[in-house]
Amino acid sequence: MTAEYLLRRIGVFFLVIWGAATFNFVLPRIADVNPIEERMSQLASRGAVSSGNTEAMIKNFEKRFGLDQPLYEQYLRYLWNFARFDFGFSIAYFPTQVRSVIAQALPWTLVLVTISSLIYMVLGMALGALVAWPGASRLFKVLFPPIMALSSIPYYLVGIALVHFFAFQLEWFPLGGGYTVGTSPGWDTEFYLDATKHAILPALSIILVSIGFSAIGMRGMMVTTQGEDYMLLAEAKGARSWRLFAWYGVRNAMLPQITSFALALGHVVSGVILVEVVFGYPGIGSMLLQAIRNFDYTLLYGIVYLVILSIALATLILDLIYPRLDPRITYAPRS
Amino acid sequence: MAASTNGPQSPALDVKNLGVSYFTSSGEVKAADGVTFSIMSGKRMGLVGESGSGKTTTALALMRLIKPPGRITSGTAVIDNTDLLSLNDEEMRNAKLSKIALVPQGAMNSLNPVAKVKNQIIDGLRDHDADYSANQYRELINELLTKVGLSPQVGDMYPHELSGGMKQRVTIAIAISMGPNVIIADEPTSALDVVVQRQIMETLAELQEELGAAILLIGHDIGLMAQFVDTLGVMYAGRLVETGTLRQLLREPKHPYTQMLIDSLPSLERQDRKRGDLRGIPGTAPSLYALPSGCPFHPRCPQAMDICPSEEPVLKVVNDDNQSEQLAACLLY
Amino acid sequence: MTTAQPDTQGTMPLDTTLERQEGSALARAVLTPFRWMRAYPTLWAGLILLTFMILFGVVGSRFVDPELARAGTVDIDLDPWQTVEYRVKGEERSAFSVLGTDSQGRDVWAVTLLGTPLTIYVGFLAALIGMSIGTVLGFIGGFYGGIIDNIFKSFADMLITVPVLMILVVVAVTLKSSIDVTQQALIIAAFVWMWPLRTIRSQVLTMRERAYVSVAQISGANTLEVIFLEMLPNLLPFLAASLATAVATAMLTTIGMDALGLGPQNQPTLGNTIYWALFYSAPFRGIWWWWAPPVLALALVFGSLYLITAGLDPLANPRLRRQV
Repeated sequence: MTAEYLLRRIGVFFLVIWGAATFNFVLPRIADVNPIEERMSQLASRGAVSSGNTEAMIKNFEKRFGLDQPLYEQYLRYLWNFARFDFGFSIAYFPTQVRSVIAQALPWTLVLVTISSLIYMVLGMALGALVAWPGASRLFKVLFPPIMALSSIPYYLVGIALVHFFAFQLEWFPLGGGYTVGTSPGWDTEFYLDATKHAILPALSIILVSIGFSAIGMRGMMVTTQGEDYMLLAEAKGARSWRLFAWYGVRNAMLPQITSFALALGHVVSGVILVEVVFGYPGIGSMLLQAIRNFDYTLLYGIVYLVILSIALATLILDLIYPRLDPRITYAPRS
Repeated sequence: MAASTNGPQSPALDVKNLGVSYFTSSGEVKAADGVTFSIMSGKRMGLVGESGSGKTTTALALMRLIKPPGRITSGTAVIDNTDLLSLNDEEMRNAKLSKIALVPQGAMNSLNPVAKVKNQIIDGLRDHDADYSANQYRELINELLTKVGLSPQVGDMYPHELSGGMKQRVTIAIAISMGPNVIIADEPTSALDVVVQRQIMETLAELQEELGAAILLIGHDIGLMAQFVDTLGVMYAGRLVETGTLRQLLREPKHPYTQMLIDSLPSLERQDRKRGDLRGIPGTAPSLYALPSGCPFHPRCPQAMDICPSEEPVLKVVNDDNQSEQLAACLLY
Repeated sequence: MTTAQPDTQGTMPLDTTLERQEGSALARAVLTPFRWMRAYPTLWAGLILLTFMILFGVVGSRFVDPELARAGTVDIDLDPWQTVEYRVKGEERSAFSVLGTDSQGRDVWAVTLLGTPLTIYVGFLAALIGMSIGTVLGFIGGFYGGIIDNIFKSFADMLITVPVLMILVVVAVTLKSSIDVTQQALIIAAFVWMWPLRTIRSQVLTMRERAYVSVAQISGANTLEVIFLEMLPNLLPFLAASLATAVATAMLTTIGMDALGLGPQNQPTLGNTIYWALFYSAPFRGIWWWWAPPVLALALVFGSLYLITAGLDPLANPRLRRQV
């Protein structure tokens, strides 16, 4: 990996998060909305807060955001705040910090995304590899088309159907949420089991749909490896067929899947957010829905910024470790 | 390079009536048809022909590496009293490396890019139930690498760290790792520069002599081959059209195709020919989908006769000097 | 062709010429569509399914009273398969409710019929605009190369990794004003041009190297002519495949926005229907006739787009023909 590539790649990362932050800053100003004032007067008109309080709050916000200062200063202060993950107060949950509201939800989403992604990648790559392997059972070839058909449907639509059949009708799983209401999240086994039970259907709706996505890429690469000269020589060596499959086929075909996973991450996360909405799962997605419904702009901008940042970071990490996994690549120019 | 003369006079590889066909939507395509030849132990045979003539198909068929829609349709290939073509898959897998080994075409991509060289050598041994300790493996690999002229450190390198010539040496190390009776070298040097080509061929020849193995060298470069082989076979449109010793074929080629092939060479033994006085073979290689009737060479043959389009020639003895027969499939004889 | 053995490679082209020669010109003209159908069954299955879904909505919606798709028209939470009485501007009407009603007094059958073409419309409009942007930029970048190309490509690469839905959420919430389906399509179009750009650009790059384009250039054809007469026809399969993918992406995005409550208000799009079904916890209450029709309609539309993309694959990537 050359230093130039490393710098370039990190530069792109900062460019993306700078773009995301700037977007959040510029858009309300172009649209000429003062979200805080609007929301406050909305609350005041409903009698949720007394008007005296409202003014104090607006003052507070304006001061925090430096809205009384020149635009460039506002912008710099804004960027500085975002760089420190300081998104101010949540409007709906005032006086809670946006940061701590998000911190409650983030672990749920992280765990759900990570575990589902790992499972779908492994299952998808296994299926794709076996479908392309001449010696494998016909079963995989039969399994492939329905799984591919499923992959075209958005996660959360599959999720709705899963809820109906497995939670409502068969009552195998709880109807939604992240844990049984009434229990308090703790570090004990009982809670983990409960949380796992709640996570199975959301995870399943992500996995079922994504297997096809990962399988088709793997199948293509696996077909390619079979035409490679090294496969022919390996066969001429009299290597056993499982070795040809695993060490000459899969080992070579799986590496490019990491890149396509990185590219799909944004898509996966968007999907997961909607899955959470369907299941009322207590992660970022449900929080986003709340923020939208409450016109909680600060929370909304915070969530969007953090999601974009997480994905950019994950992509950066994958891009940086990829060359370490693939000895062919000394530095990885993205084609 | 002198042709080797040691070794017992029994065929190391005896191929009879080998046929390979591809079954495509437009019918059966005979990529190799009735190919018959044998190589004595310790000898080197060359197989030449234009691309599409069936030489690589023959090599792959002997290794049983023909993939669908291709299939071996007939023939026997006997090594050590065993017919490779009638072995079951597991027996054939065991015969690879131990009886017959391949030095592949296109060494540039013949090694697994994500595995270290030593592991690629071990893979072959391990799957033949070689029961070695880690130390024995290391010693064996060092020995093999040294034999092919590489430093033992190469074992710990990845293919992309090696030059083309070094990669080809590694494939040779793999091929000799179990001391096979027959080594098939399929244009082993086609992607390399001339100096490296020669060095590699010398290494291959030395090791083959040491093992007493036979070599079948596939290629289209008669010039390179002439420096290396004892006997020569010429293929055209999936058939073997002429075989004989190198001397016989170079001095007195009988088949018109062989004659034209030899004539098309830049000065080899005939010093009198001026530079640039090269002759090509008129016409193009026939499509295997629509072979000319009778002798497939007749449309390009300067000596074609009236019967050529209607009768298929078979290999016949055309010259029999005391020890070796020269055979040609041509209606002239 | 899978006979990729080096020894027979040189003889491949004959295979296709033989196929082309059979039959008279007339018979060929008549049989061509059928032959295509036989050669590309997946593509045809997809096209037929998509046409069916469009007709289902466009024709079907003529037979229902659009008022039925408005909230508050009929009684709420009615079971499927019954005749319902309702009142529009004081006028008594009655209709047969195939799929019952939702918790806001809409007839689900009417919503599904009206919503299917609406959602497909948003998807296609957004995709067509996005495709046009992507194709033009891809052409310019691939053809001229240099700095412009670098800028386009880097921007596309960056945007591809960003979850587009997030950006759209910010846009929709901040603008806050209610959008209609066409405006929604325009907003989405701004975020679906990246994949077509990449595909077209790389195709143009390889094509630019190929002889016939160079020949056309040497022989004095101007750049525009080269693009439209020489390159575009060769790119058609790619464009078609990209379009199908772009429609799917755009539809995914539109129903995603809808499902978060950011879709066009008071329009019975399939996404909005899902939003309200989720809002009233229909899946948890077992009211399948509320969520299942829009989900099924969407699944069929997405399925048809998938079949089209998969069916175009052999045309767009001939190397993959006959694999598996």
